[in-house]
Amino acid sequence: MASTIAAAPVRSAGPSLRVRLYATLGVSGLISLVVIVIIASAAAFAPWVAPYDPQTTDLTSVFASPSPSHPLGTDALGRDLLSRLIWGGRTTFIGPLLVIIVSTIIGSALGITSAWVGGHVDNVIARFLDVMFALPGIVFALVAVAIYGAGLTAAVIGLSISYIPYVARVVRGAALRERKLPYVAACSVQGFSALRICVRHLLPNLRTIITAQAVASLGFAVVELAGISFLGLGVQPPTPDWGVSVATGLQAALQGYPAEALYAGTLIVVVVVAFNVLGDRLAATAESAKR
Amino acid sequence: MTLLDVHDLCLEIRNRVRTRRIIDHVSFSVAKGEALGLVGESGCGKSMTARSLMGLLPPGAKLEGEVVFEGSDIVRMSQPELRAYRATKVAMIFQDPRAHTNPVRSIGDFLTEAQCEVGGVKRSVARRRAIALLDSVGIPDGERRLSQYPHQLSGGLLQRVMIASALASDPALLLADEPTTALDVTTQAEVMAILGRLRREHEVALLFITHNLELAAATCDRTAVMYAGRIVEVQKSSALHDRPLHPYTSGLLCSRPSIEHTERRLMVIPGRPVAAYDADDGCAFAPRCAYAEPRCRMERPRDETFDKAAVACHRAAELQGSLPTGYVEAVS
Repeated sequence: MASTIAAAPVRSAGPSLRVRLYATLGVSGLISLVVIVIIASAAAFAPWVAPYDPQTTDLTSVFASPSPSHPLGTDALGRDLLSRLIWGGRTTFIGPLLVIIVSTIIGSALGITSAWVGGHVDNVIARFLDVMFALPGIVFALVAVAIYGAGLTAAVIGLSISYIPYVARVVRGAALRERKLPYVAACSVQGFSALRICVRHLLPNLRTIITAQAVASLGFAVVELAGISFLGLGVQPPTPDWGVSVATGLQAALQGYPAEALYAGTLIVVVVVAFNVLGDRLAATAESAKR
Repeated sequence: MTLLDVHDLCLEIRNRVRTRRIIDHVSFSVAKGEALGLVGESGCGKSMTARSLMGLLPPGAKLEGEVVFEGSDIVRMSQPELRAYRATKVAMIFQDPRAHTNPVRSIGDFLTEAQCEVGGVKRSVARRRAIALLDSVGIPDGERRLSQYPHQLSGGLLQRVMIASALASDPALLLADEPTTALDVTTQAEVMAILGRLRREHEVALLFITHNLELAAATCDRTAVMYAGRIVEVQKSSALHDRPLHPYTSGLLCSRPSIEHTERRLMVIPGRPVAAYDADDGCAFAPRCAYAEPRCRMERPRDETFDKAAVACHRAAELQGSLPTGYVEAVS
C-alpha cells in the first residue's frame, strides 16, 4: 500500500509587490524606475498633461523667460518649451522601445539557435555577428535612411539591426549554460522537439537575463536615437523630439538662449542614467539568482 | 519475450586530446515486465549505459553496437523516430529530481505537457489523468499540487512526481538512474515501494541503476554487475547474493556491513576503481583481484555462461561456489 503524505498548508500569497520590487531593484533601481515611470507617463498622457500644443507658434512671446504661463519659457518661434519636451518624450521613448523589442526578439532567436544547434551553425552565426559588431549603429542607420528616407522608421530599423549582435551574444552565452542543465535532458527524454524545449523551457529560464540586457540597452538606444535625430536623420522638425530639441536649441544657444538645449540634454541624460541603473540592478539580481 | 536487447554496445567520447572508451562491449537483455538491476561503483559506466539507451549522449560521443527495442535499433534511429520512441516507449527517472524539473514551470505543466503536446490529449483530460497518477504515487491532494512549483515540494515528493510523469506515457520500459540516491533512507523505502508496485501494476520493464546491492536484489529479478565499462556478471538477484561468480561481486558483497557481526573495519577491495579507458589489456579487475593469475593480466576474459548466469572471469569455473559473500575472519 502506498503511503500518503498529509496535506501541508501552502502559503497562499507571496510577498507583496512592493517587497518583491525592492528585493529585485534596491533603492537606486526603485528611484530609476520611478523617474522613468513619471517621464514616460507624462509623455504618454501628453495631450492632457502638456499645457500647450507643441506646434503652436506665438511670435509675440519669443524666447520668453520662465513665467507662470510658460513654466520653462518658449523657443525661437514662441512655442512652449515644457509642452514640447513632454510631447518630445513620446518619440524619445517609442523609438528606442521599438528598437529594443525588434532586436531582442531577433537576437534571442539567433542566440538560442546558435547555442542549441552548435557546430558549424554556431560558427557561422558567431562570425556573422562579429562582422556586425565591427560596424557602429550609426552606419546601419545611415544605410536605412538612404533606403527609406530620413525619419523615425529608418532610424529605428537601422538601430534595431545594430543592436541584434549584443543581444545574441548575451543570450547565446546564457543559453549554452542553461542547456547543459539536467532538466533540459529530462525534456528530451519525454520526446519534446527542439523547438518546444527552446521556446517553452529555455526561454522562460533566460528571461531575467534577456530583460536585464534589454533595459540596459534601452538607455543606449535613447542616446543613439536622439543623436540620429540631432543630426537631422531621425525625427524631423517640427515634430517635437529631445534630439531635435537639442539641435534647434543649439541654434538658440548661439543667440544667447541655451534653455531648450539644456533642458532636452538634461532629460536625455536623466533617462539614460535611469535605464542603465535599472538594467544593472536587474542584471545583478539575475546573476545572484543563478548562484 | 525479449523487450530490449543490447548487443556489444560501445560508447566512446572524444574530446580535443583523446578518445575515451566509457562503455566496453556491454550486452544484456530485458524481458517484458522484467526488472534488471545494474550495479557498480561510481564511474563504471552504468549511468552512461542508461543514457545510451535513451539516445541522450554528450557531445562528441560515438555509440556502436546494437540496442534493439521491440525489433528496431535505437543506435540507427533518425531524430523523429528517436523522439517518438522516447515519447511513447521508454521513460526515465533521474537521481536528482530537483535538477531535472524546470524551476519555472508548475507541476501541472510538467505532468501534462507531454500528454498534451506529444500525445495529443485534451488539456482537461490530461489534468484529470495527472491527478489520478499523483494519487497512485501516494499524493492525494493532486488538484492542489498541480498548481505548485518544484521548489515547493520536498525531494521525496518530487521524485514521486517524476515517477508519475514517467508513467504518464504508458511506457514499456522504465529506466531508473539511482532514483533514491538523493533521498534519505525512509523516503527511499517509500519511493522504492511505489516504484515496485506500479511496475507490477503497469507491467513495465525496469532497468534499475544503483550502487546499492541490497536495493537491487530487493527490487530486481536479475542483477548485472558492472566494472570499468563492462558487465562482469549477470545472475538472478538471489543467486548473485548467495553464489557470486565473479571475484568483484564477491568483493562488493564482503564489503557490506553485516547485522550479525560488528566489525571494527569493513573489508575493502584494495586499490581504486579504474575507468574503461584506463584498463590494461587483461581483465580490468585483475590488479585488485585476490584470485588473479598471470593470464588474467594478459588476456581479456570472455563472457562465459553458467546455466542462466553469465560471468566474465577466467577462473569462474574453478572458483564457482567458493567465493565468500559476507563477513570473513580478518586475514591480516
